[in-house]
Amino acid sequence: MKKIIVTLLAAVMALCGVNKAMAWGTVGHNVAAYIAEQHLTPEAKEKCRHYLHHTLPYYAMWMDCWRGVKEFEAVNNGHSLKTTEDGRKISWEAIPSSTMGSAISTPPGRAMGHLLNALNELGNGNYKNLPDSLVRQRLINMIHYVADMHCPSHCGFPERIYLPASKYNLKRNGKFANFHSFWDGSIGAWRKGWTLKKYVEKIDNVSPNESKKWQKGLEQKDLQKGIDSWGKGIIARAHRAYAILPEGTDLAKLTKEQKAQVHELADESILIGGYRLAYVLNTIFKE
Amino acid sequence: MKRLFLIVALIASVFTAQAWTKIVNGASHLIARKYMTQQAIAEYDRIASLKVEYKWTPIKNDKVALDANLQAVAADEKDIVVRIEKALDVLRNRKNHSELEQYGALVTLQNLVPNFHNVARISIEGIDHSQQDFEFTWTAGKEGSKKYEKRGTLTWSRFWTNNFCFWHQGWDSEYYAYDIDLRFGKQREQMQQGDLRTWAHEMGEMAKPLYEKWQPGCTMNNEHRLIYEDIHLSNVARAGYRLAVLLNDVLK
Repeated sequence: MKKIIVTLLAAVMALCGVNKAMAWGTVGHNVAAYIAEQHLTPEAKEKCRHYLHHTLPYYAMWMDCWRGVKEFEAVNNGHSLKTTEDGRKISWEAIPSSTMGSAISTPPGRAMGHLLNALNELGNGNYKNLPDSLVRQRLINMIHYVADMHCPSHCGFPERIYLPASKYNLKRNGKFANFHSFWDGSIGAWRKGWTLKKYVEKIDNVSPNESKKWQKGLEQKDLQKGIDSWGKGIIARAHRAYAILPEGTDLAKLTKEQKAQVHELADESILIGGYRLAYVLNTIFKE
Repeated sequence: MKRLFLIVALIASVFTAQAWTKIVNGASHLIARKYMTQQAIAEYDRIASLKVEYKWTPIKNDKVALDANLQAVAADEKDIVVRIEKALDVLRNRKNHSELEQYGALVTLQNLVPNFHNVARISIEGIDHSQQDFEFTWTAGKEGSKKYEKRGTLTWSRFWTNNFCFWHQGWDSEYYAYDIDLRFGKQREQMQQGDLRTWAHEMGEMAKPLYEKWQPGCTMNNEHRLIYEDIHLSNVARAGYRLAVLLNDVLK
């Protein structure tokens, strides 16, 4: 009897594990897009509906889903940002042109470059002069990468500051665990079965003053400076992610305090990503 | 022994809680409710709140049977069209039926109208693999692409039933209903035209080329999940809009 019970328990645990591994990244993207939905102006919401024919969360995973399709391989780019050698500023380095595709432009500076280009392309009422299909594609990508660039593990540091995720030594029950994957899934960790509505109820308790602070930057004439100021905050939160999980940490043995720190940082990052996505869309569709 | 039962019950509850079918059926019900008349909603709620002991028993792999011309055959008692028509009859003639029968008819419609719109439930005469479930190879990415990885086998019914929720984690039935109606709301009136038999024919026209393209032993990848999601969602919309038409008609 004991053997049967142990086997059944192992099966349940394996199934749960499989589901979590598949689900984590998608939870964060859906939550960020859902938060953005809650903070769109009526005008921006109407325009988004016009171009997308769906909610924002519907397209939250689009760039990840289609990157495996040959014709769309170019959307492999633009999910992260990179820092400079001193680890303090965003790197606006160009992505090699060999990875460029026709389905989506791949400007320098990864996610930040995408955002800058999209704002120049669509902002100041320019979207009205573009084909609907192009505006739609830019919005679909934006829903993904604005959230992505706020993920603490999507900030690439020079190797001398932090080892890359593939070498950064974390463990789970003694075996190697990936830093990047852990933070990708951090919002959903230990929160099984939460719906988007529940996430918003539990984590979106932000005062208008605080959210305004997060959004500050795009009102500047020099958009790159504005986006750079967002980047500084992202880099600072990425440093926090490493501090919470120093090398050698076993993820299966995190303390209550560490788990609370993980959720605090993940929630903050998702909220900022969601609020900023709303702000970008509200700004574009102001005119 | 008790412990064993508890664990089995736990496994069952894990599956139930994560079932895509539960969410999608719920979404189609919510879409239907949005387009039901006040009178139909009142009557629906009256029947749904009847205190009867009824347990819905699904028939494994039940089908919408179509002939080679894609016309509903409906000769088998287990056929989805036959069972929907019977349930409609019960609700249309409520006075002649017991509370238990009325309740059962309502539950039947709630379950079978969505099933009717599931591509994997369409069985076409002359296409053998449409008459029973079949397995195929499932991969991540196309062979030769960077992301290619063999992931094992999948069944046709599982593909069309459980396979479209991966990138919508956290969504509940309400949000699915909202999003799907946003996408297909403009086509609602067009989707609602016709009757059960013409809808069965339409589903056959949709399913036939898919059965011709995909056969037992074929290989599909996650690209196909993306390509076919719109068809899948349109069928959820059809189920909701059409359930509203049927209930508005019989619950006068």
